[in-house]
Amino acid sequence: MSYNIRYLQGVDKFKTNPNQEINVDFVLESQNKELIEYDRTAIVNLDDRFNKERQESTKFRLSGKITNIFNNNILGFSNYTPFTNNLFYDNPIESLTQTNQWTGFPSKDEFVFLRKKGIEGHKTLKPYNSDKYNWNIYVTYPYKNNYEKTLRYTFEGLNVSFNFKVSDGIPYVITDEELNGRNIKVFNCGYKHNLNDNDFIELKFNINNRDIIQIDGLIDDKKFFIYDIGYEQINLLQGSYNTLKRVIDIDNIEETKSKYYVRVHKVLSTQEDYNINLLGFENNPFFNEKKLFYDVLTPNNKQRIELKNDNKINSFIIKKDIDIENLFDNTNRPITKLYISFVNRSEFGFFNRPFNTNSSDTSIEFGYGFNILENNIDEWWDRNRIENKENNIPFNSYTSNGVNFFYNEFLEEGDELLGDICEYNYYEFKEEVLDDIYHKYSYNNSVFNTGSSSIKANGILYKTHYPYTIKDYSDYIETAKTGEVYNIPEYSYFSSKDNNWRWRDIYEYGFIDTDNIGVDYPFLNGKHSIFYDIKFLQKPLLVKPLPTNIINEIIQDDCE
Amino acid sequence: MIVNKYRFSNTTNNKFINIPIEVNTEDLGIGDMLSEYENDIVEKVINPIEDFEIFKFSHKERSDETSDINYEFNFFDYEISLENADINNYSTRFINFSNREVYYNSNSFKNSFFKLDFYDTKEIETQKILFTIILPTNTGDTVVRNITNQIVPKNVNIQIPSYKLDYIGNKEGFFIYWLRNENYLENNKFYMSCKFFDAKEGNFIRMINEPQVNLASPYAIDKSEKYFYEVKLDYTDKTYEVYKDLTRIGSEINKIKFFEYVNEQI
Repeated sequence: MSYNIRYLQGVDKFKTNPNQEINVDFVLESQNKELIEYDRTAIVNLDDRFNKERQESTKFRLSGKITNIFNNNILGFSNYTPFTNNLFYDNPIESLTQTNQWTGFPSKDEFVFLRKKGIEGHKTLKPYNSDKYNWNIYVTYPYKNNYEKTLRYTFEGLNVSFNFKVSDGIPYVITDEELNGRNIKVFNCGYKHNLNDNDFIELKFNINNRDIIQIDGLIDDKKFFIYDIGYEQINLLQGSYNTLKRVIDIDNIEETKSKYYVRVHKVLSTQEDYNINLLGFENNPFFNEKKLFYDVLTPNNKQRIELKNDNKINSFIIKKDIDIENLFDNTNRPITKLYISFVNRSEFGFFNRPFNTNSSDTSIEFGYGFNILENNIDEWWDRNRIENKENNIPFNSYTSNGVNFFYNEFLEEGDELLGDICEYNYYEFKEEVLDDIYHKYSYNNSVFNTGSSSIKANGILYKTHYPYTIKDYSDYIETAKTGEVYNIPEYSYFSSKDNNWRWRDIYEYGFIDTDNIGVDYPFLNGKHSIFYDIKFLQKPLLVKPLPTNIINEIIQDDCE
Repeated sequence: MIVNKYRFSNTTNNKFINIPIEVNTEDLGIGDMLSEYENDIVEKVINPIEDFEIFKFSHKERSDETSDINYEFNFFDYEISLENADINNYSTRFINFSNREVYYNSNSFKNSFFKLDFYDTKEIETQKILFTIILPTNTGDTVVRNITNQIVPKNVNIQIPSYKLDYIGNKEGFFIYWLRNENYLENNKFYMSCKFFDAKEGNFIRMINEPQVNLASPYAIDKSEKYFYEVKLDYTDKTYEVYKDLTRIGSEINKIKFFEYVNEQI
């Protein structure tokens, strides 16, 4: 450091100031030091350390909130006395005076995540198991693909149904329509086609000697069209159906054709690895339907308050830290998503009687969004059908008062669960979920008769898997020739046509790009903490459709 | 290098010579380890990652598949001296509060509480308090009592200093929240003591695990033995158990009992 110091004689400062002798001490100060041979200096920076530890950590702590929304609206009756005594009666006066049959709805306790009471005379509740009786949650990740699943698509508009193998691609039914005065052939797909404007489709038959054609336009995410230039082929007539595959580049069919499959999830946790609690100060916006049944209006002459629905919200925490090191997903890439998977258990026995109790077929049936029709129940849900059983979920039974009851068993680490229908395109290096998987648990008609046949049992659907994004892939694709770029990821794909490697970067924790892609979760105690708000909807799949006037039409009159 | 002169005499026997071949080289790339060594040193110099997150421990279920934990607090009836008293002079009711005060939740009753302190050791001189659980007076079990002096009784439910806590129902004080990392506590064991804060008098009353009337020297108690119950954590299933003299307690039949400590009258 240097200073400019100027010394003045006294008289130069003020006229009356005498001159004096001044001694000045010079300090010779050095702010460098000699280098000592072999010494190494490491600069430790808090931000850098935090980022280093964050990027290196592969452990996750998962927690979340479950907003359980259900409408307990399937009416029935029971010949099993403890169940009869426990119903939410629909019309107790009529039951007492006219029919002598106590019809009603099961208590809300059969649908909630945190069960608070047992059923008198049937089964007592162990409080420490209260979050395990009705539902079980597991951490899972998709680890392989199933290309062989046989599914069924029903197009309600023309009442066309057909089976297809998932690897055959997207199921469709053709309808003839008109657009701006021109005839078009509309492909009504079972699920999301994921096509872009200039994409091609591979058909299972030839048009003008070609089985790959370019689409002419998109209508929505499940419909697209080609102009009808007077096709007379039987395969393109109204009502004809088949499957198709998406192709991006007609000059590179082999690499740009999509693959279609059902994902298979592997279970990473057990029923002991989670806790569910009730949130104290939050409810969902729907009403708690509660009734007081006077003693004279109950079959056992006991007065009680019963709830039909519940608007409580639960929180959950996965007790176990999930380590993703060395885990690879179904596309052989490092995993970027973990899932919370729900499995219905219903240990109290209102549900889950397997259709064939002598077989290993479980009671839980699976289906996809396209199996939920607007006006009918899809034939897919036929309980005779072998293909719709989720046989990865084992069932068990017990006897109470001489009656058999069924429930689903806990899953173990390493068990499998079926997942969503997906498309993977190597060239795009991207997996797209085309349709979500749903589980259906059905009423046990032998103890709670809902009036449906045992073939098409009334039941309730729920979405099985809810994703936690733990890392994100970039929106762009990186390419490089061999040897040009250092550190090409192991998961990259080599395009023989382009003669280069293709991959998407995995963004670092804490980096979010301009398209809002990326994750930035709290990192504490060496673990990434992720919270997820799950809207868990239990949707009835009814044999008898619900009356249309459940929600009254809004009346607009002069009052407004 | 060792250079020795060896002399072999010409005999008829065979001779063997061991020639040591010494190699004084080092592996290539040894310098690369330096950066790893540097990282190692840096890791040691800075604070390593330690997990201070807490976790919820619940009361372990018993073989009869119940999981409730039961506390009972006994107050001494000062109408008789300790020397002349027996176990019947302890009462499981809030002696310092009238039934009316309890029923109408008077401020002095509402603001009183039981304070369960958890220590790392039972040695009074060296122990450190780790955390505390508060049991409010107005969340206890109830009994039917008359709250009027009139001829016609008015029987109502009032609280008593007895608690049955479980996963559902009364949960206040049921769970213990403690560190996930099990290396902080020796043997994963706490020592639980109890005090009652009497908001009417404004003082703390010490509670002990045995009635003084049962002791040979009621005023010379061994604090490390009489102040505490042992609470053991089980990290495998995230539960805890309460012990006294190696016997598990806390069930409805075998409650965790605390008794008011009575000071010697001088």
